[in-house]
Amino acid sequence: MKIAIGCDHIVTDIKIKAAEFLKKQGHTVIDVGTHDFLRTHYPIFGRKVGKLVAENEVDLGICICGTGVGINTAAQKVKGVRGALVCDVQTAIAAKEDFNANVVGTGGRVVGVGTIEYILDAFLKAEYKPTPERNALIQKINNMIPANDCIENDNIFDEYLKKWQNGFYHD
Amino acid sequence: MNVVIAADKSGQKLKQLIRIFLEAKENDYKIVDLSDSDIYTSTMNVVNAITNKTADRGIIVDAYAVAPFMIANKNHGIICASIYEDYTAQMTRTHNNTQIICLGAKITADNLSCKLAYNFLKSEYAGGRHQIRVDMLNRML
Repeated sequence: MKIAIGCDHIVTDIKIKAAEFLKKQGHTVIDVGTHDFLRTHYPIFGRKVGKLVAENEVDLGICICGTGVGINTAAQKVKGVRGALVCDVQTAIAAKEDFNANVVGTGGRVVGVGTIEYILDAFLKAEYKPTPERNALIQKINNMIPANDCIENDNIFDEYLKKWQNGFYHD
Repeated sequence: MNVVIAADKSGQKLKQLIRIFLEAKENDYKIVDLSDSDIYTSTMNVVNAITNKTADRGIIVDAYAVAPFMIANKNHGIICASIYEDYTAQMTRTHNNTQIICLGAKITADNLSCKLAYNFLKSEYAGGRHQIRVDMLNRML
């Protein structure tokens, strides 16, 4: 399988371990970053994973940040993504079987590497079990976002990054 | 604080327990139940209450906390988190300015779920450097 994986600077080491696990199983992994521990912003990488999934460049996406919320929410803002934020194997299986999730994620500060490996393994092996009700809900979710520039415009974050560099955002 | 709650059939029992727990904890929680038998409608009822500012926070309960996450986050201005443990219940509020959480009745025990909902409501957004990420999410959709 071809899998995109992304993270923010909090969990880069965990993301690398997850990517290695997938490669050992024979999967092709596209690591969209971030690649180090320098402070960055999770929407950049959630969008990149979501874009690859939405454009069918990969079969599935994986997103990890501190709690998993930020980066998985970013992926979910991309039309065509059905992402699930999970902490355990049972939820990962349900996400695929019930909702045909195409992105799965978790919190690298919340769940250990062993559980992450189990989650990924279960998610990749699980198969969607269609029913008319599930098909209808998935169709509804797919139709929710009207046409926008989120997928094709790779510069949508530029103005915010400029403001960041100019010190607009500070604690 | 105005709180809206909702559940589908599999989350009804836990949703009631959470409501009772929260009302016993704080007198100033005004809790309104917007449940529908359908999880899409339940979720959108909560989303609309947040969007039109009739509610400050939302809590949605179903089997796995997967569907409400998918549905709610497809709306502009909404950040919704699936919550299974204490750290995320607090941190997602502090870092992500999350307005809605979803809980899975088949995954997280009743007692823990009630406390996670309370911890979420008690936590506040830190703003500062975290705001660039929220602005980016709002630019995406």
